[in-house]
Amino acid sequence: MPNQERRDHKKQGFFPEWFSLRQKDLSKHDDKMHVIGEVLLFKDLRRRDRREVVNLFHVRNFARGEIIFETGTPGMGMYIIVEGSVRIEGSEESNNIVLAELDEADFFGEMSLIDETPRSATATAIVPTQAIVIFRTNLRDLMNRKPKLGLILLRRLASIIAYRLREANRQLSESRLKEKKNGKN
Amino acid sequence: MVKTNTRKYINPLYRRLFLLILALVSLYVFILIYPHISDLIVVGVIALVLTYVFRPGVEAMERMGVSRTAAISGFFVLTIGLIVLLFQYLVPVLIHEVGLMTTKLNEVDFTELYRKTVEQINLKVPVIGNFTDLDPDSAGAFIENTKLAIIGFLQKSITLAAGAVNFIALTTVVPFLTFFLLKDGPAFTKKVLENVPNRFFEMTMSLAHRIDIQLGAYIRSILLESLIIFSLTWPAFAMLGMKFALVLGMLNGLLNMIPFIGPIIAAVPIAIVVAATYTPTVWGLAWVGIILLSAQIIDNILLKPLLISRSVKVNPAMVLIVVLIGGRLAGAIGMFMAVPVFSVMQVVVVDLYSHLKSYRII
Repeated sequence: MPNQERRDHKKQGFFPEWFSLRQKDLSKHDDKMHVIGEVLLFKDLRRRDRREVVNLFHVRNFARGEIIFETGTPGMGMYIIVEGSVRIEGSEESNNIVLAELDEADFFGEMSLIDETPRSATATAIVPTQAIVIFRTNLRDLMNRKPKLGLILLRRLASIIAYRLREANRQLSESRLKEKKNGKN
Repeated sequence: MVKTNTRKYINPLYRRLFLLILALVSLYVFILIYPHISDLIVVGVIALVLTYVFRPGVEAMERMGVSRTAAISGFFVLTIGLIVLLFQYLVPVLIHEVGLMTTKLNEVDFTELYRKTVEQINLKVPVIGNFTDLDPDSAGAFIENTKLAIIGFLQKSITLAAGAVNFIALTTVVPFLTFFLLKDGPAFTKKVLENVPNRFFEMTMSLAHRIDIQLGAYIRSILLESLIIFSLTWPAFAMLGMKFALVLGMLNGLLNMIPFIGPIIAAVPIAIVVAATYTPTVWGLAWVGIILLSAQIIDNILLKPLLISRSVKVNPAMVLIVVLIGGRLAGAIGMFMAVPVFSVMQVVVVDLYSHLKSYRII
């Protein structure tokens, strides 16, 4: 839709990168605590620990269609959706494959909290979206200052990633099995 | 998929031109207002240095279970205490010693001293005599000029130190600024980053973190190195009965912060002061040589590899060039600040380009 794209661009002005910052605050709630209570990584933390975690948050607004991060770019942090929707796409032989569509309280990019390997997928805001970003560097600083809390977060992160890996393996096995069956038929 | 891509519609040249003009205007405005805010900048720099110095201690206390506010309050009290102690005990002693040193240097005839020293050297070690066969008047004149430069520098330093930041500013503004930088520094950084567009956000965060880590590590390591060198040379000078051991030790420690040429710059005034005040002069110079050389061996073999090389990854040849340029631009202060400023510029310029490429912005 090139005309829609041009209209969106005209709205964005001379410095479109600043367009997102001029958006109204989409969040229904001032307090971000309700979101982190729903995220597995931060569930059931003590109030004092939750406050420490909230200090790590950076709140960002993304326009409809804005790319949050692209495949191959350095990964710096994890995103938690406060409001809106995000599409996660992978590319396979120059074809874009939709891997997931995420909504409020979902999170993505969590592998960047572990290491610096480039992003394995592209994340795009489907609708105007507000997200919380937690950076690897800030998390490391927190682990340095509060080792116990850091260990809890690291363990939970490891189990989330392990769960996703098992899910991916299961889906891959199912898909291979289907292919074999289709091939036999 | 709707992909936001502005390069098709806006001529990048106009945006770059606008940003360039904005940068030049900002620089011009900064140059205009700098003379009026230089005091504030000095206070800010001192507070920033103290923040970097105290931060590991605050984090260590947090690890032990002390709340961040309590840990920072402890260091706040420590900062005020240190400043009061400095002004009560150390600064008067230093001013007194510098005054005595200036008087003593003015009394000595260096031409005559040089002639006697050369005679003594020729008697004891005739081989060296072949290399010291300089015209005593020209050598004496050189030493006289150096002596006047040292006296001028010492007097100027005391005046500058007293005038640049007065006692009230140091005991009130600096501790409070340090307290808030330690407590709310991360929140302030977060507030600044809120104004960065999404496209540059992760990249800016990465760069800011790298600059913070590198600068903090360098400041802490250079101060620790300077303190160790001072701790080695001051007792050594004092044990040998050299006058003004404290001032000489401090001079050596401070100037050691300037990479490569700092120790050489420190050796000249130390040698001149010892020659003027220690008898016999030859032994005094010999001991100075041994002490300074030993300190440098310890510094280069032990301290620099352990402390400095990990914090700043700058080519040694580049360090030398940068220090000389810093000296040209801003004198002694420029020499001190040259390496940390260059390493920040290196992170910003070199890493910025690779980050812009990695994030596919250029």
